[in-house]
Amino acid sequence: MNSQFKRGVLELCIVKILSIRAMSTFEVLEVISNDLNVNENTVYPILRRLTSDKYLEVKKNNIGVGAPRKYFYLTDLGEERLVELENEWNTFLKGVSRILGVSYE
Amino acid sequence: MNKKEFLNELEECLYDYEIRRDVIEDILSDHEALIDEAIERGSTEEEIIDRLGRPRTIARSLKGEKKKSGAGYKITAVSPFIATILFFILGFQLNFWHPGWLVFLIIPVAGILESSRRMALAELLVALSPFVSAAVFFTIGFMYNVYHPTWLVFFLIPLLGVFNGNKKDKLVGIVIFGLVPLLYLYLEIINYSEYNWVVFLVVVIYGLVTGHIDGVIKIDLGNLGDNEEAKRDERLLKASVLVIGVAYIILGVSFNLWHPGWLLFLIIPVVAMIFVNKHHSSEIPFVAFTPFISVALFILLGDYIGYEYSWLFFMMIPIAGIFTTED
Repeated sequence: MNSQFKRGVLELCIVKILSIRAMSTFEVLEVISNDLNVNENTVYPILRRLTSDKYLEVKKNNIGVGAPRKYFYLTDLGEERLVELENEWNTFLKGVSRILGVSYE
Repeated sequence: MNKKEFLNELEECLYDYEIRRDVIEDILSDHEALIDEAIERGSTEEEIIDRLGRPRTIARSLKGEKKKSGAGYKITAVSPFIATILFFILGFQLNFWHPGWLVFLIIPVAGILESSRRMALAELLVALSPFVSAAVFFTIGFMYNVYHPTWLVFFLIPLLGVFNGNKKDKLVGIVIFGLVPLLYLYLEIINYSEYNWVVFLVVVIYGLVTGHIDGVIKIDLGNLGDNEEAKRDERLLKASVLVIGVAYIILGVSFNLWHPGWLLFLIIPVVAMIFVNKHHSSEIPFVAFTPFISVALFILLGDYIGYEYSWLFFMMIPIAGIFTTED
């Protein structure tokens, strides 16, 4: 699969799962890799980019020992981004389905 | 690979991609937290590190974080123009061509300050120390015509350098590079003798005894492998240090050419870099040679064509920098 396309799909998946609840990097990685064959090299840079684009907000949790654990929350802008990405995805899927002759609703 | 080794390697790889220091620290902290959490949830250290992949690949995936400090780059980019304008104002208005050329030090200093976000304070001070020392040396030298013993200010460079070392090295370094020049200064003022320079042999003896001097050569030629050619070049470099030292003393004692004879010492780092280029896969760019070449040309030709013209040789540094810089 084209890596840029894959990153786009992953962005949608990350935003979607974070719309359900805030998660740490490890949790995001766990949830995503349950269904998709991805590694941390792909997920972590997307989390950083979504944060710098203000779609995500980070809250640090100091657990006493070791490095502070970051939790990613979806911002209002992130909610809007999710709707936008879902619409793009649905339009894309419908188009592909029509070409393949598969009904998609 | 354990967690510490993984994080160290990741840090080195991130530095290779010229990512800002604060960003590197953030990335390292994230990965440390990620590994800790995985272990807490039942993974072993090896499992999670294996799952994360190679540090080099992780760093490559983050190279988009590189150079996001636009304002800093703009200042660095305009610094040659600012320096040129200041230089001409100083020259034409005040006839201050020398040491007015020192304003060109703004260019490397701006570059260092721009990248300072990737550096610890001690590293920043060391990086700036050659420029501060040169500025102090030439300004005091020119204004009061006391180049000697003002040159002692160059000891600031190794003195600050030792602050990057461990505790024991710091203490010895302060004594060697701080107190020895002060002792020399004291002797020059109180009890002038043409042999006062002998006190500096303490530095050389200490270096030889502790293996630091040998170490410098080894570091420069480090990781060349054990092939015969690398070993031969290492011996050649060591021999060149000795030959240059002897040649300098002969020039000084026989012909009173202490100045500009000291320029011979510039050959050592240049030869070392040539050998590194020969044996290393990552080449040292030409721009790294230009400070040594321009200092030599500036000093050697300054007496003949005038320092008001010979400073132009320093322009080869930013020019070479522009041609060497990657997009």
